[in-house]
Amino acid sequence: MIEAKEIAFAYRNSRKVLADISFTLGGGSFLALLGNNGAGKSTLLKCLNHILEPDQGVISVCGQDVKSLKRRKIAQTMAFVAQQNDVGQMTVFDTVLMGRKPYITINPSQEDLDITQNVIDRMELSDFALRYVDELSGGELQKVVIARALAQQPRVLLLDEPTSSLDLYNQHEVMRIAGEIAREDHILVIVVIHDINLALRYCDRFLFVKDGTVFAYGDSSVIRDETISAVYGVNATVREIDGNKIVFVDSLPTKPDMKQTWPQE
Amino acid sequence: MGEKTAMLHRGTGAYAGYIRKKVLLIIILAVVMLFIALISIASGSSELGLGEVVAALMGKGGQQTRMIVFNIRLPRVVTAVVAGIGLAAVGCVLQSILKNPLASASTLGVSQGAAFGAAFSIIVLGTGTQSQTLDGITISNPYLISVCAFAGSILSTMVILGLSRIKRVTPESMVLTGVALSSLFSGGTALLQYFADDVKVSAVVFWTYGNLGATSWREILIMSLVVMLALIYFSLNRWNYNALQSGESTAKGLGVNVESIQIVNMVVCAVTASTIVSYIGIINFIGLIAPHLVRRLIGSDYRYLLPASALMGAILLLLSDTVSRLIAAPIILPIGAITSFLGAPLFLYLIFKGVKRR
Repeated sequence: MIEAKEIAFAYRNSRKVLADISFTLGGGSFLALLGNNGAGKSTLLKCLNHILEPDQGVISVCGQDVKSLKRRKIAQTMAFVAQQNDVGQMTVFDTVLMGRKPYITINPSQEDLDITQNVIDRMELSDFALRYVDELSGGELQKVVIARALAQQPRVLLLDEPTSSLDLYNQHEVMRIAGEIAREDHILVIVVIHDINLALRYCDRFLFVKDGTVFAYGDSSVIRDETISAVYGVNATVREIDGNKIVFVDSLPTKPDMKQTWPQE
Repeated sequence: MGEKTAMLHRGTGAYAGYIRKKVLLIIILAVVMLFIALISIASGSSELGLGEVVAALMGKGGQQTRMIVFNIRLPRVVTAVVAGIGLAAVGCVLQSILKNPLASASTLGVSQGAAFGAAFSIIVLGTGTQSQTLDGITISNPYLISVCAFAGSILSTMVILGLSRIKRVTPESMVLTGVALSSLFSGGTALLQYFADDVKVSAVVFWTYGNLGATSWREILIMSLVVMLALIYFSLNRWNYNALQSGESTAKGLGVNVESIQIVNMVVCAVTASTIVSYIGIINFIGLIAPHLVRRLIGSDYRYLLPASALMGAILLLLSDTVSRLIAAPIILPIGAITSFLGAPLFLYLIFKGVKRR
């Protein structure tokens, strides 16, 4: 489904954010991108979708080099949900309909409207489909922007910290929906997330980014005490309770390398 | 019919009803614009009835009435409609591509660039000999002034675009560059005026006031053509403007070529605004106010916001022109001053109340 080979990227007049990232992932997986602040997780997500052009390396989606695809075609294959969601004064329906933009030439077809309505129904947004998005709560808004991404009918869904500003209920709700999308639609979902326990509960693959490279990648077995300590600079214990792994932070003996504060786009 | 299909039809049916309301609002704005245009044609030193105006427009009625309508009032009203539509559409588009609710043609330095070009033409090239007419002051060579004003206003945009070729320029830095260039052009105009004689200075001041009554049918045709082509281009990009409202990354994720859309739109906006300003002088605030007024009624979906803003721009400029002609008749007040008078309170309102729809 997606293959990243030796991806490197540096912002203009800055050090390398990504030095050498390689991984392969198939459809139906739910991958958590983990690492400390400034590790390059969001940058990697943007490189995958070609929102940022990597300085070197190749990204292939469904066997096609992303670099060779037109932006419209990329948008038909991959959907991106940004960390900050500026929304205009538009209704929920119109916002979700915008996900059909890569398919619309002049006016939306009946098929575009039907797909939009289907996504709205699936995300349980029907009750406020004609409400303006700037009147919604943070959790509702997050569902709307994920719905917009789903209306793109992507093979890969990229979520940049979708839970960062949500309350506990909505954090779980968003992750549950993302996991459901991965399983039921056989879509590859990649999420940038800071809460490892939330990731452990819903994701099936984990990729730790450190110093611009892949530090650890695999299933939940990669989440170990030493991995957490090395990546985040904290003493942590990973315990298994009722068959579920849970990370406990014991102490903060080492300070994370604060020099790694890369500039964001 | 299954329950799911029925739900689907209910949902899209409700949406269709909601869209009909927006279209109805646009139709109402068009009717209001036509009505104000008729009132504007009827208003003036020789008062005409609406029936007389309609008859004259249909080629009936007296010779004198037809002469007043076709030679004096109609060119002025059509100029106001075309310029209002053009300036408001440009403002509406710039607010999206620059992601700045206070963007308008002036943001790119178009107005100040045009004023500098006009001042250069009047003072340096000597087109500023003025003569008194019944209508106020006219300038001896308006064509050369228009050419210079166009060159001045387009120069500002070219500088911004040139900088964006050297360095990746963000919408914020484009706005700031426009502000800096505006200041530069204002300084240049002030220097030219400082070394000019009284006649030329008053000619420059008169030009910068704006004048809807000096355009010929040929000039109106050129303006209309430019505005129409710009509207076609803008309307083809309406989905891009919608996407850009959600931020650059999201817009790219939705398939928008953000950089090229920003640059091409800036060129189209600059050419449109420059053409209008070069013929009628500086008209401030129409491009800023019109989109904000209708945004509160219709939301920020550019499929409807764009035509509604354009119509609102025409309505505001027609109203401003009618007020400027009637409020101190027989003296015609400068149109630029009237539009600024309308715009300044709204500007303050935006600062203190924000731009959110209620």
